[in-house]
Amino acid sequence: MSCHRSAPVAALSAALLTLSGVAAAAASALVLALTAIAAASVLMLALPAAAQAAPPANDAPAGATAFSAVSAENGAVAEREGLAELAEATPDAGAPRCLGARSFARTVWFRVPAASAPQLVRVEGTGPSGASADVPDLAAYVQPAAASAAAPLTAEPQACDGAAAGGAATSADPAAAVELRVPAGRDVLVQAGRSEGQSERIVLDLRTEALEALPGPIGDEATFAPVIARERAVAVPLGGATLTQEDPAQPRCAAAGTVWRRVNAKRDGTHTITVRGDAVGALTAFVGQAPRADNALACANRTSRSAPLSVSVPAKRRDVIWVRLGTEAMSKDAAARVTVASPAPEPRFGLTLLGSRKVARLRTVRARVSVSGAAVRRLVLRLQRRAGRRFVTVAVGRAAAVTRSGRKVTVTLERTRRLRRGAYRLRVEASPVEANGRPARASGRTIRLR
Amino acid sequence: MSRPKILTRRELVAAGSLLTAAAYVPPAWGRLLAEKAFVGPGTFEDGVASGEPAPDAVTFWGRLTTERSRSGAKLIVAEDEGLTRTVATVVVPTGRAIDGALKTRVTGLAPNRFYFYLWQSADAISPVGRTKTAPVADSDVPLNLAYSSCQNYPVGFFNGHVEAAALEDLDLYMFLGDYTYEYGPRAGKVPGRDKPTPSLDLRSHRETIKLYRADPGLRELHRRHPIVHIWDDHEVADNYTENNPAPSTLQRTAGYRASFEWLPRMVMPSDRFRIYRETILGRQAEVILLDQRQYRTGDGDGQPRRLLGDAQLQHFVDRLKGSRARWKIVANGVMIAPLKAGVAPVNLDQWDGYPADRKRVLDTIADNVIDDVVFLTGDIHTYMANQVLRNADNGLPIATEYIGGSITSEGLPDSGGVLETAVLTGNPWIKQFNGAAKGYAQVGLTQEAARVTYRVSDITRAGAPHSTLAAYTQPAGVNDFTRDAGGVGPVNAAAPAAPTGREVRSGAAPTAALAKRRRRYEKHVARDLARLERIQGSRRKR
Repeated sequence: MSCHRSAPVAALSAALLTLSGVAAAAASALVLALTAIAAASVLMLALPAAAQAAPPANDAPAGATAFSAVSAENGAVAEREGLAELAEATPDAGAPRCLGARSFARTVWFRVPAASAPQLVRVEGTGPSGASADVPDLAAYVQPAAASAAAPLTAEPQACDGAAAGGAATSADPAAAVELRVPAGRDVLVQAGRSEGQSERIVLDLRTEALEALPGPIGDEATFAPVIARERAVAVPLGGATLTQEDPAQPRCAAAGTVWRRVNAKRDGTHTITVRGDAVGALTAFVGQAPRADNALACANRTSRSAPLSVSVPAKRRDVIWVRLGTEAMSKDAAARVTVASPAPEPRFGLTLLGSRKVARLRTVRARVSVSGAAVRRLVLRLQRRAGRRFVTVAVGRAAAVTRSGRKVTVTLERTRRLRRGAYRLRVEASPVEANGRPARASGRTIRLR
Repeated sequence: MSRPKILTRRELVAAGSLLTAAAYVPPAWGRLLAEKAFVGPGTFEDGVASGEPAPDAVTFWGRLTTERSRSGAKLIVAEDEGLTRTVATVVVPTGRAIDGALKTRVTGLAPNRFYFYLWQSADAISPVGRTKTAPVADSDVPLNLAYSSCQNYPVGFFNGHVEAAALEDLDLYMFLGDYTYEYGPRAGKVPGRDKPTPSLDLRSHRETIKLYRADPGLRELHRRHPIVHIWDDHEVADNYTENNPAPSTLQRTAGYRASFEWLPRMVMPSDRFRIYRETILGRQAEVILLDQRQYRTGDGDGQPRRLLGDAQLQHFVDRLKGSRARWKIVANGVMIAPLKAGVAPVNLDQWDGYPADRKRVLDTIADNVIDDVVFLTGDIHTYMANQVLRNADNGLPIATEYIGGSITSEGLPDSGGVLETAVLTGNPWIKQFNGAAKGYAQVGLTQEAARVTYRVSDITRAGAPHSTLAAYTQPAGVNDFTRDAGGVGPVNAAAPAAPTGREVRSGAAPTAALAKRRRRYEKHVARDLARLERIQGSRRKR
């Protein structure tokens, strides 16, 4: 019923007023075995296909269709509609399934045209009235500046959301959304689909907004990401950050714009990356020659306004660690500070038993320890005798407070028990000076006393 | 030395097919890094809410305002207002895809008792909300319900919500449609109530409902009491149907999504936007929620006219027949009793336009001798109390209908009570008709009787006091009501001053011209009544 004196109320009113008189409203065997399967598969694929309706026109990326304008009785509608008809849609050979092997089993494609200024592209998807509450799969691919509509780039999506992404998609109101800040002159392809066993229609809602044309920050594209020094906080401007075709989507740590930095690993071990500044919403680290979805090793979302974001990733000497700062901030002054803590160097030890190995002559046990790789402190040498599956310490010696790398130190082990003939182990333990008390990996060698 | 086997052409073709098939399978890509639901940054600027009470569960709602695309908050539920005796904590994810909505259903609660709750983010906490679980299935404790509909923000203040929020013990509050209005821009008829934009798409629908929820009365009502909601047309577009013209799929989905995102209502896995369901409040009452917009068919498209759709109608009928509750409370969007001018229905947007569906419902009630079916209705911005007759416009009363006015939306213009007289005269099953008064309704339920009270106030003044417009008592098993006399004035007498002079009601005609018009009107009414009697007489003969 119209509640604003609209047509039905007016009609009701008019009718009643009329009544009242007041107014008027695969090896050969294997090959042979597989032959039958393959033939059957091919037949199964081919025969029904002939009987079924053709896939939709936007079944493949090259056929991506535009979102449609819609009208409403109360004004001009800013958002645009995309109806993803999946009943006859097929999977896409050239596009990755960014939410796992079961995702995007049927997909169709839409195109968001490039704009003369950077734009915010936001696409939301859900099932229509009468559909199940299953969350659709959405992915967005930013096209290179000179991309061809006939041969779009679908190597890797820049944004991806769906049931497997967790977060809001697993909430009580299931829906998927992707949001990207795109540089001027870039088309965006949107892939909408459903997981295996699902083919219900998806209603897509596209909203685009022109953004202030800020110069892209240094490292907006991964190719040009500067190398940052380790162990020192580095300022990273974020204003004007966008997503380009070089940004691999990481659904668990999504961001509309990203800025990249590189770290060259100088030694093996765990590198810890810490970001301060509340303009950064997500932090992702990749290790490899170039950032790709399959070499993302760790990510973190902001959990408080003030606490820094931090991730730890294992890397080997000469690896490149790609640090991606995800931001939703629109301000040109938005910035963050990044610190990379490299793994502490691992000390190496050389062990030599000095003097006689005859038990009868040993009044004290002396050993020489050579230290290399890193300075150590609290060097402890233990002589241990095997007792069943365990080792029992029979003599202990300690070195000076700090032993520098490249030095040798002679340690005298004080006997606490009577030595017998047999196999012993000399074991050295120490803490690297740079590791804040964290013990270095223990080192040892076996000796035999006569 | 064995001779290498040469593959036959057939084997080569088969192997080629396999390789082709393998190449066709898209790569399972990437690495989904692990992530748990987490408490993230954000603030709570839109209040809290609860709803869908069951004996052991309640749906809790909140909303996190944050720039982050992914975040979350922790819900803390406790037995005491100080939140010291915690019974549940849940970390609920949210994000941009759902506009920061936080929603979860907490189970394992005790029946028929109050609980207190708040949401906690990394930066802030929400106001402490209060809710109440439903009584156990065999309980016949008395119930207190309230309901309203049609809250048009620019038209006036939501005073009805202010009073309802203050009610100390309310088992359930029911919103019966037109929770928001899509119109805009509209200047407020009262200060500070402008609606700057129309609701056309997802963002604007979300903005509209956010604006509405900024109303302190509505926000407090949600904070204090569990609710259920059904939508009507204005949550999407005025009087929309499938083809009259149908709103775009985008607009329709946007309206439904926004409604789900902002209300404490869980999604049914089998049907994304299904809202028809039931809330059972012990043995005393079963509230059957109907969706009279989403499944309409037959508006000139050659399909049979259906108000509820086949599945929902069957569900409704099954609930009526299977309910073990004394009172079958139907949360009914549009009026079920006929409303006629002469012999013709006035408004085909209500059950009058869907006679087959109505007949099925009335037949179910009558044929199965189902007593104590009470329709609580919205939509028409008018306080009415109606007998629901066996054959809609004749026969014995088999149910009752209480139409609870509107919170603010403008009703039918009337002048000097003439419209009321005309309606009551031409529709004898309608016992009250008042389109001027604005407010809500309270319902008290016991095993012996139901009592419905219409509460009204002046919507042009924020926080204006309320008075009782009318109260009705319906004894159990009777399917009819009597108007309470005590403390209640004559029809419309307690109505507050309406926003405009035209709508001010008056007992006596102030001018000679109006007195003349009234005499003429009464003559017309007498003539129409005589005609009606003749028609009914000839029908009986046939």
